[in-house]
Amino acid sequence: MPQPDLAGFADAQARLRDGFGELVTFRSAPSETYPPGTPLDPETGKPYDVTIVPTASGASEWIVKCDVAFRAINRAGIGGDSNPTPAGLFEESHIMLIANSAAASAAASAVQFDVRGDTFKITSRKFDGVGGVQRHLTYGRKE
Amino acid sequence: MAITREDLISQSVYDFVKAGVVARGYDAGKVEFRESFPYTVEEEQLSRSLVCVGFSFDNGGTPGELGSNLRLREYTIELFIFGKDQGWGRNLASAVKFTLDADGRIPVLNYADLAKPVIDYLVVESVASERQVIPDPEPYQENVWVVTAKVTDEYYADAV
Repeated sequence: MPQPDLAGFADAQARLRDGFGELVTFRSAPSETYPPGTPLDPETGKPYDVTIVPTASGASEWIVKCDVAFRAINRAGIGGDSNPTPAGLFEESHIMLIANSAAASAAASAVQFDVRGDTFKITSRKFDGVGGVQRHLTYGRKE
Repeated sequence: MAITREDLISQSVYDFVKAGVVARGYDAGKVEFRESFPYTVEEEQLSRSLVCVGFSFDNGGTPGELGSNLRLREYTIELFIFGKDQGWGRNLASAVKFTLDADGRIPVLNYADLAKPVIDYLVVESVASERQVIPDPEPYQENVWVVTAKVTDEYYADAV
């Protein structure tokens, strides 16, 4: 029985992403610094006193090339923005990014990403593949 | 500092519930605590149960005695329990209820101080739990209980 060419399959997917993928900006949660001695809520990391402003804030960003996929609308309909395309009606509030496994670790600490002019909150992520792990999926929801 | 008396009370009740429920053996792997009501949960099915502070309101307060600015203000604080199944929801709601009931009072901590000293106590007037039936629920809303605690704060109006 012929063995499937899994390495060739993975290579073909990577080349496809390289040719048709889009550059997605992943962003970490903003880290904020407060004046010394400020009592902070350990759960939220923010001051109990809502009037205190951070002395510094910033977020890290990474750019990863990914395939972008939207969810087709089912007959019952899904809430959120939808857009007719040649492939059918797609719901654009939920999105999935497909990236190379190696590239995914670069964005492991991200909490949101920007693609096609919109910002999405990362809801879950997992590795995926056929006969092994070849790609990394990131699911997002429009903020 | 702009931490109001009500901020102290809300946070104190939340921390009291969290510490008490964890002490009963409901650790982080079983129960997650959230300081606000979760309007969305990005999970098809809950992997653990949630305890969340929902809504808080007061009765406007009443005079505590003639000739002074002593006030008695009753706060109603609702905690929402999202059980990962029916048994968990009911069980956790009971654990929250009896935790709030346990001492008859809840310490008010001063969160403006890093040491969080106890500066006062709230009197627990009543604690009730009730299942909430949500029409057309999301998966995480199928087993929801609300624990409603009424606590009284006694304070001098010019001191807060």
